[in-house]
Amino acid sequence: MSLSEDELFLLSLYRSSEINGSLFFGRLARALKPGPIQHDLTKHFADEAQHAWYWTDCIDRLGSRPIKLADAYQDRYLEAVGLPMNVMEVLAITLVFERRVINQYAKHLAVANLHPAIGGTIDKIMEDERWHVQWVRDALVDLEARFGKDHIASTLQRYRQADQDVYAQALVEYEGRLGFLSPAPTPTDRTDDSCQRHHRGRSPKGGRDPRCPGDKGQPRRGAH
Amino acid sequence: MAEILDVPETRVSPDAVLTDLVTDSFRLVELAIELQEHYDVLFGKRT
Repeated sequence: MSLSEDELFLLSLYRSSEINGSLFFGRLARALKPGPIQHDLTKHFADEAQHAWYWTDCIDRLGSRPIKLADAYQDRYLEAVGLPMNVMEVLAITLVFERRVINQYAKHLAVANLHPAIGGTIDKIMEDERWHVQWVRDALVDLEARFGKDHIASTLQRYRQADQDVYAQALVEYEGRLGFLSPAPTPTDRTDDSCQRHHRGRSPKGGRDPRCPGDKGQPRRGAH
Repeated sequence: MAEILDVPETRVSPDAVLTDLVTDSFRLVELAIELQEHYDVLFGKRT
């Protein structure tokens, strides 16, 4: 099975976004003082680079070559909300973006007759994405004393609004290319296809799964 | 600042605009974080 033009575009967009994320986090990891945020951000940087490799390899195994894209999806965030100017803002925009990424990958997993190479790549990435959301969320809680809980909450709200605007705009722009993706799972559909696929045959490593509507309050102790 | 930004000192005048000196947005964020870490201060956005 070879990739359609639309699939190749989307996988190339994923790859490009992972590369940009890696480059961004790598530079920040270099700038930060030693400490828990530097530690986790460095791991995050390495993960994003690894994800870019996964997509490059996936595209290659499917007999194609990545499309060279001028910009990445997250560039739109910076255009919409401006540059983050401190660690809290960086983490807040990261949290919002990571949730969008998870949602997008979940949508892709739900595509009928998805090639196993693509599904396997998303599955591998999802493992890391869950941790990304968790560590950033925890770090933002730790920063409440420094930045104020309300200020962090309002910053997150501002970025969530921007995220919705950016995503809506992207859907319009890429309408023709994203048509093969199935509709997003509804928040109340706890046994949605992507969720079942995500957990099949796997022992959870613990922590909350932001893709799963039931995993909101307590750390997950077993597959649902 | 000139050293960090890798620009001639003559360009870093008191009325220089940072975004004129740093055209790479990633570099600008990196610089802002570096300065806050170094001087233990917080930058925010002007409202």
